[in-house]
Amino acid sequence: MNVQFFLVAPPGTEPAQFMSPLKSVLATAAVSALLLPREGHTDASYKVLAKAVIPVAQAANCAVLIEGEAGLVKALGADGLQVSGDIGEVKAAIAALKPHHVVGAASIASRHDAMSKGELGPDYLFFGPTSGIRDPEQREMARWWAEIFEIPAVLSDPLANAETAASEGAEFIALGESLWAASDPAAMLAKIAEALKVAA
Amino acid sequence: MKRTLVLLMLVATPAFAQTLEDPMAPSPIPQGTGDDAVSVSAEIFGTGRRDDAYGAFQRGYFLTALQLALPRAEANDAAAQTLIAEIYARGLGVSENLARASGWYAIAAKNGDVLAAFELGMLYLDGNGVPRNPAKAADLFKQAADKGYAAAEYNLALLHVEGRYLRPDLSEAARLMKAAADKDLASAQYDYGSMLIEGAGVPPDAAAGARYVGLAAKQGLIAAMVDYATLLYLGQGIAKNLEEAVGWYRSAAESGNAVAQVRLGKLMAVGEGTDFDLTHAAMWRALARRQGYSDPQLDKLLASISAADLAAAEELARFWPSEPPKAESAGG
Repeated sequence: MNVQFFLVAPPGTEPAQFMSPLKSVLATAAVSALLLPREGHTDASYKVLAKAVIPVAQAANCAVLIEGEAGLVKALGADGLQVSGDIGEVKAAIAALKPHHVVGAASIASRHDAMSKGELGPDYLFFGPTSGIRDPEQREMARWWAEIFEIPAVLSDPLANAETAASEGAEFIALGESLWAASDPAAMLAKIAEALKVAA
Repeated sequence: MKRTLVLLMLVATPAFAQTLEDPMAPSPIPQGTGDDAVSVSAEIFGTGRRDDAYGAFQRGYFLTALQLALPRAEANDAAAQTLIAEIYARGLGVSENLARASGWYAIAAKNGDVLAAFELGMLYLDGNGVPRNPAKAADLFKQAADKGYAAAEYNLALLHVEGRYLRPDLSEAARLMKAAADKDLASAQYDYGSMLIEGAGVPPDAAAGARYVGLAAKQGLIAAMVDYATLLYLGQGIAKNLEEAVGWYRSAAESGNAVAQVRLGKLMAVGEGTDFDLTHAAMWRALARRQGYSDPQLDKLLASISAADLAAAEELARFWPSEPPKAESAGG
């Protein structure tokens, strides 16, 4: 099976800036999930963004993942929660949300951390940062994880372009920063999709 | 068998072996001689930095070993990665966790550790901790076999014999089997000996075949003991020797092998290579029957046994492998 797209919204973005590029990329390629980072938001602005994005994304068969409290998932009608905390937080989120909602574990510090979190049964492990430069070790770890374990890996590549994007065997590639910075995010996603042979 | 070999390859000190035989032992300090302590402390303090985790491991401090090995494993030290994998694969001081073991074996194998490649291959072959994938197992065995790891050569040879996941290739199987046999792997000695006898993948050579089967028998492989006894009995590839044949049948019979029990019974019932002894012949027949193995020829040979001897035989079998309690002698 080919790699699937996982998008990461820009930090602190507002519906007025984000809805238009989001709609265009969702119309360009199949996107499995969209993460809304909490970074750069107040509680209020985050809710405003989520409420605007969720129906649009879900209409395009794209699951919306949020960060923060488990209770917020249901309150906002999101599909799941991405947890960047320690094992205890992942465990609590899984207890609160599964099986009806998705739980992803991010900020994987080490292979040991990956396996410890993986054993709790999240829906995916998110390798790499949501923005900025990726530590090459994270790419290696995702490759290793995808080869051995059944829980899907998301390999984040915030600065991806069509020449460098590679899934390394991970089930999902997470894109964001470089797309939103492009003059035409949809065109850039189309090029990456072409390079990775992701179905439209 | 494979497991034993693997352990020997990992660390050669007696302290290690003792610890693994009884990982739950309350006292993790080996009962060995002073030399063990010296060699362990030399490993810990004298040489490279990797030995602290091994030292803890050898002395049974598995959680300490894990803690010491983890940072080095994260920093891509293949030996530390394999050590952690072993701890999880065997559940030493932690719950057995084959998925985690696979994760560490995989990265260690990628870093060139042959034991890790072999062990991960076994997990893929059996679908333990990872989805079953014999083709991947074959790749990993190949990786370890190319570096001369005997257990991997042996398993790769078996996959070539089976011919489902690797191309069927008896001569390659024989080459690998010989390589493993010449590294003293008993199963490989037995299988290579059988291949020589049958001329499978190699020109038939009864004498070499008997020699390899004998080597496996001497290592205690029961199937090899039975075959070696038969070769000695028939004088195939080796000088006929009834007494030795009886000795090997007896060793296998005493290890519980029903075929050996019947054959030993027959030799006793006719007094070939051993004293004529219908009572013990009948005892071995009774023990083989318990395992659902009976033999009309042996029944015929025992047709003339007296009721008293048969009863004595049943009594011996009842208490086997112990002796029946002796009646107190009245005159004593």
